[in-house]
Amino acid sequence: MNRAKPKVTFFVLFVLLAFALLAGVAIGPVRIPFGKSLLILTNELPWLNFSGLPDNFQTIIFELRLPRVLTGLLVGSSLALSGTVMQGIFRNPLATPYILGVASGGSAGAATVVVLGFTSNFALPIGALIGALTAVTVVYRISWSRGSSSSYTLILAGVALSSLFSAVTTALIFIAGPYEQHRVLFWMMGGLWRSSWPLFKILLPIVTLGTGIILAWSRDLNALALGESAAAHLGVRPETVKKTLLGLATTITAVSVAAAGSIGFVGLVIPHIMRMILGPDHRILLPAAALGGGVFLIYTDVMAKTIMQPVEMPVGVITAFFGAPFFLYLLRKKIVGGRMR
Amino acid sequence: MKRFSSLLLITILLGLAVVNFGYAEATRTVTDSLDRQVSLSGNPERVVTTIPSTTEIALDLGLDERLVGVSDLTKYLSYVPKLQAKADKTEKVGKFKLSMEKIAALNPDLIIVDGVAQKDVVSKLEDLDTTVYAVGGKDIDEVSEAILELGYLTGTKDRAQEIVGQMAYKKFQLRGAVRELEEKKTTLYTLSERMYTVGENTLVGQVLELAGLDNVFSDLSGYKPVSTEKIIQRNPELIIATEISGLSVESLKNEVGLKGVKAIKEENILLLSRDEDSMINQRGTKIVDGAINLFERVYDKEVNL
Repeated sequence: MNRAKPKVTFFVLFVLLAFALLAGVAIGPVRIPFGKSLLILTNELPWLNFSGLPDNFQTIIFELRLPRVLTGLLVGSSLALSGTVMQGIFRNPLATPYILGVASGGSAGAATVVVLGFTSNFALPIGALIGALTAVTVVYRISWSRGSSSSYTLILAGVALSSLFSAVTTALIFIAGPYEQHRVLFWMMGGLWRSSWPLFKILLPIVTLGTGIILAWSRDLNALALGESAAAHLGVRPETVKKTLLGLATTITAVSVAAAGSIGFVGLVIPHIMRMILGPDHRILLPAAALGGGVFLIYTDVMAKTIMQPVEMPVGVITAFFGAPFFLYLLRKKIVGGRMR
Repeated sequence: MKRFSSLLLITILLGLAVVNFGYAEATRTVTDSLDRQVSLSGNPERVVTTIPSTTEIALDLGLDERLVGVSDLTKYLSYVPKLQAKADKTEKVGKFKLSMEKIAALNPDLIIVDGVAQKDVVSKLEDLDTTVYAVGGKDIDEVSEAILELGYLTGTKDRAQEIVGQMAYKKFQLRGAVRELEEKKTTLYTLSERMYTVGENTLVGQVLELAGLDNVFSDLSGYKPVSTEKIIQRNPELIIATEISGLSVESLKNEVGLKGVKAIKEENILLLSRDEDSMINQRGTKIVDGAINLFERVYDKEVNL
């Protein structure tokens, strides 16, 4: 076994996370000296009170960077965790969190809201959430018509419904005016620029609860990965496991999509990277993927914010730009080493 | 003596006839904003304009009778109701995507397009075997030049000179009024909730400058989304937004992190109506009027015209 020890990996991941959180708060388009950022952060603690810190630095760190970095953590870990669950359940390396139509449903929902002319701050996320959940519900309804369902039916229904919803989005973009087109396209590119405390407060309980339950079911996912009949022999009810895990994974994906649009790549590649490092045991893989996804998204978002400043890049561009080569490198290393699995 | 004068008269008349004849039939050539040589022999009889701004120019030049096709988006001409009414009665050739079939069916001898937004369709329109002129330009001077060239091309030179003269005069008066300002307001012009803004080398950027507004993102080029952090740092005194982009005073006040910005704190938000925004965004004959309107609304002063 040439696999990394889980303890070491988790230690490294936690260190990376700590640095990511610091980087997310301290680095941005506006240069704030690192010491000042720390002062501003600690200033919120009740027993400390420094005075004379510039007001606008406080706004930047508290209203913009802190909610953004925490939202990035939740979104990144949701996507990577759902990706791992999907790949495990469907036993398909190409499965992503969006395979059951969450992303295209979300886009169609967001586009509808924009074209109907709703402009409040929460209109887009709510529209996206409704769209995402509608898409997934329809996929489940179709696939689970007779009490059970094969993975193929689910995937095919997801793909078909995705194209239907994409067509709806395209049609809406086509009939919309230039300003509306703009808003929809920006939303579809995905990004964490919409993050705010109210949004984070909605996201936090849903993602924490969903993640907690998924992690608690990791042993059942291991059984399911052996195949449905084998799982049944081990005393696991495959339909229940599938329904629960898919339901939770799509829920946390849907809220992530509502908060940040459809950010690509994290949900596909982070699970694979973690599996290459740690092996296929979901009891270790699931928490590692969740951590890795969060860390990855925070770092890439820091790059998205700063690489072309004062202009902001869509973070999806950065995730693919840095994630893909790294993934290819790992893939090659493993194939050359003769250990793909 | 008498004989000489009648001879002279005949010569002059003949000369005039030749000049006139030549003037009517000579091929006129100009260079449009895309650096294309555009030639037309004689005055165009059937003109199609593919975007509200060029419709405005054509109508202002007095080509009413010869205008056979316009863009569907006539609502962007509502700042001059007469123009919109005229455009509404004319055949339509498409919104953002032009219908080549409809244009071909109108059999135009001159099509006036926008050289920035419709750059890509120029060659397709040329395939219809007609003359295509692209109005472009990132500042008012280039638009003025285009108006003069179109005047020359369509045989409405005098009217074109009149329009451009008016624009130049108004611009001069506006500059004078701006010089008298004690201080220019630092301004953010935003097009969307994603804080899409304009840089120096855009038409709106030029209009802002002309109207005596100090664009806080004049260091950018083109249209760019900027991060909220940078807006907080540059702390504009005034935010200009447009109604049609879906923004409102309320939505801007609720925008994350903007609370601390001067313009929001002091409620210095100028929401432009569609008409006001069309005037400063369209490469037409009303840009300077748009700039004057902006100046008068922001500084509450009048420009002597």
